Amino acid sequence: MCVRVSGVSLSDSEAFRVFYEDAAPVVYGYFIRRCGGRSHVAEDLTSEVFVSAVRAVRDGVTVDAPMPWIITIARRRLVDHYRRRDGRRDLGLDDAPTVSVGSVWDSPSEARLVTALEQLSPDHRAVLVLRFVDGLPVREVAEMMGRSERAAQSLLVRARAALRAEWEEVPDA
Amino acid sequence: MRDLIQMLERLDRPVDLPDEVRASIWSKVRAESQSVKSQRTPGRAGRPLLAVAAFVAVLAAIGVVAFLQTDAAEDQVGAGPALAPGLESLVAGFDVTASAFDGDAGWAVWTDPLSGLCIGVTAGTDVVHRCGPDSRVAVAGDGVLVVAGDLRDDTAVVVAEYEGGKIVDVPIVTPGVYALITRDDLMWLRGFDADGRNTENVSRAVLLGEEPSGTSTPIDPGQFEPRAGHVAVWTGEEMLVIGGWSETPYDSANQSSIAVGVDGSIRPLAPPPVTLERYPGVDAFWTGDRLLVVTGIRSPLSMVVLTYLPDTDTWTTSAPLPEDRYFGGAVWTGSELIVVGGVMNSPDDNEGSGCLGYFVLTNSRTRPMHCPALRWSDQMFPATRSLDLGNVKNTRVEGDVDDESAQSDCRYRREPGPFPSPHGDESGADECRPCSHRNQPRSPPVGAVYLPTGWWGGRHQAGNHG
Repeated sequence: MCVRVSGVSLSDSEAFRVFYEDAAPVVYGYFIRRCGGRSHVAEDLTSEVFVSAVRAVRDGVTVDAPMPWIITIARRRLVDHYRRRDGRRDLGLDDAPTVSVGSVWDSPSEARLVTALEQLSPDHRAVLVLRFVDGLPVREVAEMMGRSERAAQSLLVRARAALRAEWEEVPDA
Repeated sequence: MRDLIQMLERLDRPVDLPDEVRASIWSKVRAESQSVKSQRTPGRAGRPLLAVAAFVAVLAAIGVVAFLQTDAAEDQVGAGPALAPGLESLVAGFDVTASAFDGDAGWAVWTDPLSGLCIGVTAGTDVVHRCGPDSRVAVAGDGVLVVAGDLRDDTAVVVAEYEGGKIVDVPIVTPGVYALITRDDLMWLRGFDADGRNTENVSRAVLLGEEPSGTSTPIDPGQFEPRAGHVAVWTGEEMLVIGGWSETPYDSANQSSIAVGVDGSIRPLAPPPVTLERYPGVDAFWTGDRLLVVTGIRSPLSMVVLTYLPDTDTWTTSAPLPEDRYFGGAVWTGSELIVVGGVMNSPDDNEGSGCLGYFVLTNSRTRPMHCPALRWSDQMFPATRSLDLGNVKNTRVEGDVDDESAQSDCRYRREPGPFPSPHGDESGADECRPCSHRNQPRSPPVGAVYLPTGWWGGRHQAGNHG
């Protein structure tokens, strides 16, 4: 059993390297805007995802579609990151999101949105990102967050309200 | 609200991955990807192929020797471990007392040697947890963290945290506890209770993959000899428990070795060929197909590497370490056993090389790496700790340089409970004393973290605490 891409086994380290070349920009891109534009965080999380992938290959995990699979790992890492980061933020250890427009954000409004998003609780932030940025159906959001579908739907409603409230609080850039 | 949602939806668009970032990430993944084949644990059906695999692994190890020897030339002393800005000052003066890693994610327990204040740090994200100076961490799957035990704080709990953010509170607070994560369970062995009495059993926690209930399943106490100071590894099927001692101070770690299954079953293992001594310390590592035990022996004080093969229930004694040291620590890197620190039997040799690499497969050593000199310890046990932290294996040396000028700053804290002091029969608990009564002067204890691809760093001086 192993992960395969177009019939090539990822248990071969060179094949994994080829897969990495294709998938790394996708995974890094997944993280960068979901983590406030912090490139070092995106880099760290991307590393974690691929190390997890390597370990999964080593453990004989079977996957038919590697790219969706690696994004699923990335999603779980992201939710985990949000939750861990919350404790760090409580200690005042977190750095501010990257708010300069140009390299990461399209507009001042987008930077403002990300700043507001960063103020939310981990679960509110996660449910909004999974539902609207990732475009997952509520059922999959619920599964990703370890909640029932009904609970996820309720959480989503509260998260939207919280985002609107934070948006009003964040000064226009 | 719709405008905000539309903005959210637009966040998912491609970005460029800079080449230097791509290379940086790959460098972290490379070690894992290179070992994809060689480290895969074969199932029972694959065991007939072990002989062939072992031959290939020996050939691979020869190549790894050359690779690591090349990298060793780049070893250097440098800055401290990668902590978030602001956290360095928070843990200044603390010791790293436990660590674990999962891929590139690492967790460490930092402990103030004097106050006992302890925090758990998640590398990269630096979430701080409450824990204790005897806490341990273990990681499995996607981000499981266990912080177990607190000798000094009755309010402490054993915590398991995993991907779903669910918490398992395990209702034991006891020294000597040894916890590890299997694929599905948190398992632990109880040690002593807070009054120094033996606790009665081995327990296991609820399945981590399900909604945790916080309950545990005791294992028949009649089958288990209570102990503390034991070491354990998870083989993928069983928890192998080696050594441990009864409440007698300085007793040898001579409790029988056992294998504990997730169903609570216990079966004895063949006894190790040498007595596992408590005082020089014991480390154990699972390589994927065998158990390595690095232990000290007392007469003469020295260290030895033992290998246990579960398939045949047999032990072998590897070649003795080329340097006659004791109190050293060790860590398994995935291909190599690195022995760090310790003290040479001859005082004149104490300025010798501080660490060495030992290849189990080839029964050979690599050239000494650049690392701190051998040190005496200012900690209770073991003198030198081995840690497993981050995407590369790190080894931490702690102890104190034999430096008379720092004598007045040297203090230690007597642990409450059953742990004896290595400095003699001293009564009382929870007290700090200067070390001037010792036979030799001591400098403040220092800690260091070694990254095979990086640097030594992270000096933490107890003297900072006054």
